[in-house]
Amino acid sequence: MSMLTDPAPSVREIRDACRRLLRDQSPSSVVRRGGGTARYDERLWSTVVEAGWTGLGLPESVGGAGFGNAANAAMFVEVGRALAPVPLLGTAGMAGPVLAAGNAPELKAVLDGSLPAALVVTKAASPLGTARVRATTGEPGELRLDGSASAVLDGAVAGLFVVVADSREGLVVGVVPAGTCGLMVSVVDTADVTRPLADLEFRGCVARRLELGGVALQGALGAAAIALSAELVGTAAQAFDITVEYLKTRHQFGRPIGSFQAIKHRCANMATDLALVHELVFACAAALEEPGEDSADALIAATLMRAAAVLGHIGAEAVQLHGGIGFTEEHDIGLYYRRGVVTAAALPCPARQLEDLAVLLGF
Amino acid sequence: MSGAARSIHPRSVLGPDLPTVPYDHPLRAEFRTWLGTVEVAPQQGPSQDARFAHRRAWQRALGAGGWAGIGWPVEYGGRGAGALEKFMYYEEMALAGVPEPANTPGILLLGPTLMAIGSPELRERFLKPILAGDEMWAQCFSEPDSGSDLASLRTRARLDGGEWVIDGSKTWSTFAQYADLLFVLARSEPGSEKHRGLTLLIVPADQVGVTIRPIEQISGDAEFCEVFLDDARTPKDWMVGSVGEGWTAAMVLFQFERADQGFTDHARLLVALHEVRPQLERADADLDPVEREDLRRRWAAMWTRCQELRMLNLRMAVLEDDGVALGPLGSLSNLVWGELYKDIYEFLAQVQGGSVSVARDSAVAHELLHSRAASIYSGTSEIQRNIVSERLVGLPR
Repeated sequence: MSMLTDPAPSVREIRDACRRLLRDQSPSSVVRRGGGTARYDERLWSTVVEAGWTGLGLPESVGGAGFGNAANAAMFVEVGRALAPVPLLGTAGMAGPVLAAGNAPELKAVLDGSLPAALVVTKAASPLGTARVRATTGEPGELRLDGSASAVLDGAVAGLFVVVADSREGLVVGVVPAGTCGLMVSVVDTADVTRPLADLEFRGCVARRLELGGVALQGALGAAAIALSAELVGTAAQAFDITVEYLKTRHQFGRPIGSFQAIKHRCANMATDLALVHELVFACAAALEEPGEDSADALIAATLMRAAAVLGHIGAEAVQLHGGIGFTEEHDIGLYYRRGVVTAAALPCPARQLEDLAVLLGF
Repeated sequence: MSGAARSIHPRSVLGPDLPTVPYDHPLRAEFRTWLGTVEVAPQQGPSQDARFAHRRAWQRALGAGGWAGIGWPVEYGGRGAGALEKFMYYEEMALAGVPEPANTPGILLLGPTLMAIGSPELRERFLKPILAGDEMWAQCFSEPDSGSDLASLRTRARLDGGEWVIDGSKTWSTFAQYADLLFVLARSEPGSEKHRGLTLLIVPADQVGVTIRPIEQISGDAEFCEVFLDDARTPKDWMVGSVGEGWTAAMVLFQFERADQGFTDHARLLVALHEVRPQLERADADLDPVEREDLRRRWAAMWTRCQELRMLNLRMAVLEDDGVALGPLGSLSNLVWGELYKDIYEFLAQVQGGSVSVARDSAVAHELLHSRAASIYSGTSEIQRNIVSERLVGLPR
């Protein structure tokens, strides 16, 4: 299977380093204990921050390590594989690129791990958008935010929210520390114990306005969507690998159940989906790295749509193919399924994703 | 075409620009310029014969311009192009609406196999006319009782003095009715079983011992033929590889099957999708709003799948240039392509709708019926799934 999900040689070292660290420091026991409602594993968090993961993909000019989008994606695949109970996705994957594009002073604290962050995106701003937040301009450099956002990824542990909102002048970006007056954060106790989510409500909440142009914002939101896609693909890949191992070892009727063709063909379909969406993720990373004559927005939207769908499918198949043990709390395979279910709740529904993609493609 | 510039689709039809196969690559520019001005007579009517003649005319033009078989070494008339260059070459061909070369079995399969394991005499005799389009080739592997289980084949070959004498029935030989030469996999050791005792032979098509009967398809085409070998004869030395090593030779040949054609298919599908856009965009009151909404979303879903295939093809090209044996990855891309091809032509027929989509002489109905073969020939989707699950995923046999 490795031929299908190996990244390019140039980023394989980073992949291997991430995989080793998480294998040692984020075993199932840490995953089950560490994540969830308003919590994360602080020891693991400081380890990955020290290892430079929060700034891995960001340019050196803003304090990052400058490894680029492909390396960043390779890292998030591993984070997704491990279900690592740290707010890396919200902080470094999603809020980070927007803060970096807007030269936000908060970026320093975000990169040093002291300020976990989350990204809130209004509908139609990007394929990530499910929130409804409107901004009105008040004092210079300020925005007044009203509206709500449901199932914000890493929202339950974020100290800072980066909000992409609608306004009369189009999309604007505000930065709001948790605890700001007019911002209500309700932690959601979800089925996924590894992913801290929150619902947000903005009622005249005053945010600091982040100045960045439309192209820069789309680029940053694209990077955020790629990070999320990579993480989803990693989770799906791990669920698939665990399932294949089980199918090789579990015997019924005197043979491994993975030798039955009814099962093989389902695995072939999953392997195919996984290989394809893996290619999409790294193609997006490459296209964003060296933007050519055509924007990669549609490809990125398509990739996120497929990544969520593939995890949904593989997560469900993984439970089914494990048989009885698959729906026990004791077995880890259910963690991957639940990750898919809960992430789907944080994204636009599949029909909306497809509709938005059609619009991006010029229909 | 009399000197008029050919209209060529913009590269944005293919999707975003990718750094490994950039749109400003000099090979793309050079080929596109040539494609824009080369003169090839237009196709004479919709029949299969006319289509094939048109493909052959294009192949002659490509050969004359130095653009046929660019992956072949320079000494045999190619450009020694690597996989990424071929990827770009095929994309440009699709954008220009140029048909695939007529002699794909020769250019893509037998030619490279001869270069890999053929004798110097065979290379000298056969390679140049393949690229020039002077000799057409057909593959004779499958038999009525040996389809997916190819190694069970029963066609016999025996040496009689200086010649091989071949007896048996072959089927599903693509465009054998137009072929000058056949490459035939036959059992040369009496009593041998399965993969052992086979030999790959080159056999002239025009002889008393060879009868070729086209098989009419549900699309009305007859792209595949039955080939009856009844004391067919061929020189003793016209074998590819050694006596009894035919299975190895066939495996060498199969490697080339996806590695090259695989670089072209996503682009042709993306062009087909692009060309149907005006019908979805027209402000036509006849198009039911619900249907329009469904079709445009499905267009987006099909585009996504084409992008998946594009990236998979690109990945295979990168691996090939790195010298990695693609092996079962070919099965994966074949599976993806075959299923996508069927779905796209089903979609395109639905975009047309009504009697236009089902009339016997309609292009879209023809393509729809034609597409059903895509997940059957060169390995059914079911066989590909077996290969993917056993050899890529590692599930037990």
